[in-house]
Amino acid sequence: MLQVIGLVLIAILAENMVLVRCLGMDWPKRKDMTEDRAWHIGVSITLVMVVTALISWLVNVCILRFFGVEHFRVLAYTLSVLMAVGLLRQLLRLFFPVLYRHLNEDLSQTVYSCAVLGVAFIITLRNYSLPQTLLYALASGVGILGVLVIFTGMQDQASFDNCPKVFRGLPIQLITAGLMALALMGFYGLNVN
Amino acid sequence: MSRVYAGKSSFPCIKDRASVDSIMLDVLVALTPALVMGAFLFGFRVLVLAAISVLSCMGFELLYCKWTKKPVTIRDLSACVTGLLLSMTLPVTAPYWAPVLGGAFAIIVVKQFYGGLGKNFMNPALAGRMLLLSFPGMMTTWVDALDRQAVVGVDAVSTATPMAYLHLGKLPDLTLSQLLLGQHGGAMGEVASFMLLLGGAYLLCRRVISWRIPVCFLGTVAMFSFVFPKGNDPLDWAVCNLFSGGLMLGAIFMATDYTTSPVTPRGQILYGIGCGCLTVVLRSYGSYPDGVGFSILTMNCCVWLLDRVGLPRRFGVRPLTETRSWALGTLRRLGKLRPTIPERREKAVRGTMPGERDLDRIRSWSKNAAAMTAVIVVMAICIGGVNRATGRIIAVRENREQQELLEQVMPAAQVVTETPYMAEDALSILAGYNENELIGYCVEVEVQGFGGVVTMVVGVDVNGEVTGVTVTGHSEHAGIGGQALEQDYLGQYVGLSGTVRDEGRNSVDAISGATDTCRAITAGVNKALYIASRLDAGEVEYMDGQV
Amino acid sequence: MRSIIPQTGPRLAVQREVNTTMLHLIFGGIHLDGRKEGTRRKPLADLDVESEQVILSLSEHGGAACVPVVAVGDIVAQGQPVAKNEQGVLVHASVSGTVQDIGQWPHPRGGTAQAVVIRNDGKHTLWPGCGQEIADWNSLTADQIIDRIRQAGIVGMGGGGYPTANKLETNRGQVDTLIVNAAESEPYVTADHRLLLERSEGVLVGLNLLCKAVGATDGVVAVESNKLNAAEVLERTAKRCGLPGRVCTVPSRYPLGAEKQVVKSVTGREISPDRAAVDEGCVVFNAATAFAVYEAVVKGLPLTHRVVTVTGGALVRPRNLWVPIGTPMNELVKAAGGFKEQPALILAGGPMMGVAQDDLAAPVTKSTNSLVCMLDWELGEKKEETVCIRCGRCVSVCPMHLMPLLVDKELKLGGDVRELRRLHTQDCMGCGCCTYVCPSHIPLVERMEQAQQLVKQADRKQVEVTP
Repeated sequence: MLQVIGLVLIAILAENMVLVRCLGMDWPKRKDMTEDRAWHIGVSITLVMVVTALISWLVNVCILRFFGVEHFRVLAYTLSVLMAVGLLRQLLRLFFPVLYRHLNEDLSQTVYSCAVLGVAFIITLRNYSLPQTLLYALASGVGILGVLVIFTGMQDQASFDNCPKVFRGLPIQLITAGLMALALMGFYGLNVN
Repeated sequence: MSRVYAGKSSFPCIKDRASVDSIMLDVLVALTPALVMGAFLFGFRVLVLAAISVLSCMGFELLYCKWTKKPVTIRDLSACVTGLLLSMTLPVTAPYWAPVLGGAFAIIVVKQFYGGLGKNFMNPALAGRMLLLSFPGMMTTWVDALDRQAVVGVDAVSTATPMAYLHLGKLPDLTLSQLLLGQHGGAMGEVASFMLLLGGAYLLCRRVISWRIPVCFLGTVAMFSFVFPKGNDPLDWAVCNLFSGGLMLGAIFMATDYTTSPVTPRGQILYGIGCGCLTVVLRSYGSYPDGVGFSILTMNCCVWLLDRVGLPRRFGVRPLTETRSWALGTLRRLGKLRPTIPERREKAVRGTMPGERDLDRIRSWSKNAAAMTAVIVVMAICIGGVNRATGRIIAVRENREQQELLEQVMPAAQVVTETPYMAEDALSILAGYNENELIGYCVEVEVQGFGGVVTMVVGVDVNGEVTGVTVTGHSEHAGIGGQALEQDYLGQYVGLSGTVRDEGRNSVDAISGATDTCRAITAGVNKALYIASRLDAGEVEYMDGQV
Repeated sequence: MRSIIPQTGPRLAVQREVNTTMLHLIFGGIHLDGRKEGTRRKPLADLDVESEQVILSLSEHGGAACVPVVAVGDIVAQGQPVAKNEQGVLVHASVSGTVQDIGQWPHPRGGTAQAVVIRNDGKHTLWPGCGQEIADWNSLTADQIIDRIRQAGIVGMGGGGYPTANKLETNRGQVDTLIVNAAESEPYVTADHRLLLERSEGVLVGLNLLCKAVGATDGVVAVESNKLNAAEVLERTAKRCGLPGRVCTVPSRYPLGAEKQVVKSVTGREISPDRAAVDEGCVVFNAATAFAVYEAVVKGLPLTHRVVTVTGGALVRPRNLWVPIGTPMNELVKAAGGFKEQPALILAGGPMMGVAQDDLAAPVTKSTNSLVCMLDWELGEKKEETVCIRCGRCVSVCPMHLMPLLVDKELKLGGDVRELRRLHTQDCMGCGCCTYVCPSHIPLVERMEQAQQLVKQADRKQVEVTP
């Protein structure tokens, strides 16, 4: 139980995809980033991450290791991302049309996200078992979702237009992300054992 | 009549005497006892550092206002408070440029870039301190109490603070009065817990802060450290946790900063509890000994959420009505996501045969699929070809790396083979031979270092002595633990056996400033020694698998 | 908790235990410096020199203005009705004399209003229609009590001005608790306090009469905890005269004298937004109204006099006066010894919610309970508005659980009506606690009013759009 909590905490706080590993930062930094949009992007990334992690774990164990062709890993994982996104889109379109309407374009965007591919590689590097894989992918996705929602909410509280003109737009958003990353600096090396 | 109010405008006409600068002045007054106690314990340098910090913060605010042509706001004393708080979190051995740098970051980036007083989302003093933490050597040289430092030139004998003991799970050897009065190592303003409590009581009486955040913060930390103590005496553990480190300063002065804490009463309670929980998590499982600052900064990012959750109940509406309606609304929205069974629509379109649309779709799709398959095949061929061509080179290089490893770890061995032994904590166990004679085992272990996992290979010969240590993977910062990964340090382990201790006999000289990493490496060496000793005794699992 | 009390049936005249207890907790409110030392020990007194004329306003009853039934030049006696309207509201002459003028005269709320002006002849001739005492008031029926109250022209004397008889009739049978509100949390004002101390029997009898008239079973006098001597006097009087009635102490924070807060403090019930006290089974009357009811029913006197506290640093002799209604304010100032210094501000009411007066010719109306003449040092410095520092004091003092700082921020961002509705600006009662505590000197009450205007405009537009 403690290990589960530890893994979740590490994935969300200590190794947050966006703020600590700096992956997956390709979300729209425009003014029309509303909270709904943040939820959509976060949920779609989480879904894609979990499915990709599952597929890539299976590919790794059943194909790559079995046949000894580990040098095809990058190609295989890229394909697994594509497969995951395609699979999810079809499933949602057929079974959850409401969800599909909301998440369609965001799902397509996640193909370009390095966070998804990153999760697959981290899982391979650390030799996680299947339950650990799924948990880690889910928690990483939740971490990204949390950062997006918090960032969007913060836009209401702290207006980003009060800085000098040079910093308006992307620079102040990066500074804000950097400050949030500074807050998470204390969680580096979190070890729940 | 000097002022005529016509009708009902601008009422009420009497006002509370508090204003922003009077509130900030109250905070400064509340901080003074702790500062004075710090000066008594650590010398006059404390006051000089504080003065530099305050002056530099005010100076940067003035400069920024002049540069951006905004009205000058140093009169409201908020920059003074930031400067004083920042200086109180520094160790007395900090160089004089440290508060200047921290103050610049705190005032200009964290506070003014977001609009100045009332508009920042993160506590400026804490953010400045965390920036200085990236110079870790400077921020972690703690001096013992009553070792008064000169104003110019620091002659520090570094000591372990109570927080360092707690981080290792041991109780510091201090009485309660020593803890309260600050007779131990630590930051300038954080040691004198009793003075900080006095200041907090003053602020509560003057109604500057509300009781909610400090009580919830301290209460949560006390409760968790009482319920999950590391050691035998829960009360002692809880008390030590409460009064060591930056908890008092953080809970009473930093977490209650107006702009970066929630405004709603319920939000404040949640904020205090959240800070407490994160502090406990960081203190128990994190790498840094004291997690108060980081926990407050993390909760600062969530304040807008806490305000929304803690909206006060509308007068006249029954409690939990809003919560109930929100819950029902969310359930309703989630209920819309019910799975539906897809229907196969066989709409006959005039002029086409049934199923022809599907065929068209497959035809168009197959074009894309063919292109993609072609790309994949080409890439696979390229990758496969390159792998074939470079496979041999890679194998040769791997061999060479292993030889180098071997030379470092077990110089006497010439050949290294994998063994079928598998132990729980070892990643792999290799055996080193020199002309068919077993020299020893190279055990690859993983330990938790400061910034993450450290992978190392330890060579143990058949007599149970270490022949060499090398680190193959780590996530330590170059500045913090980097020195401990060099061969100069690792060479000290050669020849040791049994259990390597931290001090005394059979120990290694740790590098100051990298104590965590050194301790981790010692633990790894001990693990490897233990595993190697068990190999001969047959307690290691023998796995018949691929060698 | 509420029960429908039948209108008929004997009133239980059981000797009840009188207790002074503090009840339910209330969130919000501020501890004000009461500033009541000037007048809290001064007993009620008549005017030293009677005023030459009284100005009786005809339009403070909510509803149609009263129409005079006398003409200029008529000789009127004290207690004679001089105006009435279709709902049966009456205005009586508070002195005997000649009707000098009927026209537009100054009104303490600002501007002018239709009024009947009577020149005082100093003879105090009582009108033959009034002054009929009733010894056994216990035997009166509810209808009879309401009738007598209507005949006496009694209105809500705590500021509302709503006809008491109408209030009793509409609430009959629907309430179980009747509260006489003597909280008086505004600084400077001691009118109700002195009334309780010196006319306690009258107030208690009035409480019982009101209870019977509306059919309530529980009658409570709500007194602030800084007026415990009044609570003691009430208890003793109740024991001595054998009058049922309970005294309840409410915390002495401003604005816990407001109706919603008093109801919550005494009974623990919160009045829903957009609803009235009767929906929770309570009805609240002012202490002066209760005393006026006693005078009307038991002594047969119409509403002609009331207590006014004349106080402030600018006066030579601050005191509590028992004055005829319609006395111009400069007479009050004369009775208080005149100004020792020119005041910076003159208020009818308290410094938190009162109305500024620039013309002392305005008269005392039925709901004027004080005249406060403040000097500069009592007002404090006027400071510039600065940026909101998010200290949250306004949230912690708002008795209606609102968040003024968010309203201010929303207005600065442009005033999104949906957000303002979500912040429940319509609940604001304008007590001024938020402005009082704000360290950045932001006029939060004005912002709330602005927000209320915006929401009202949006509502009106919606009503227009939807047919």
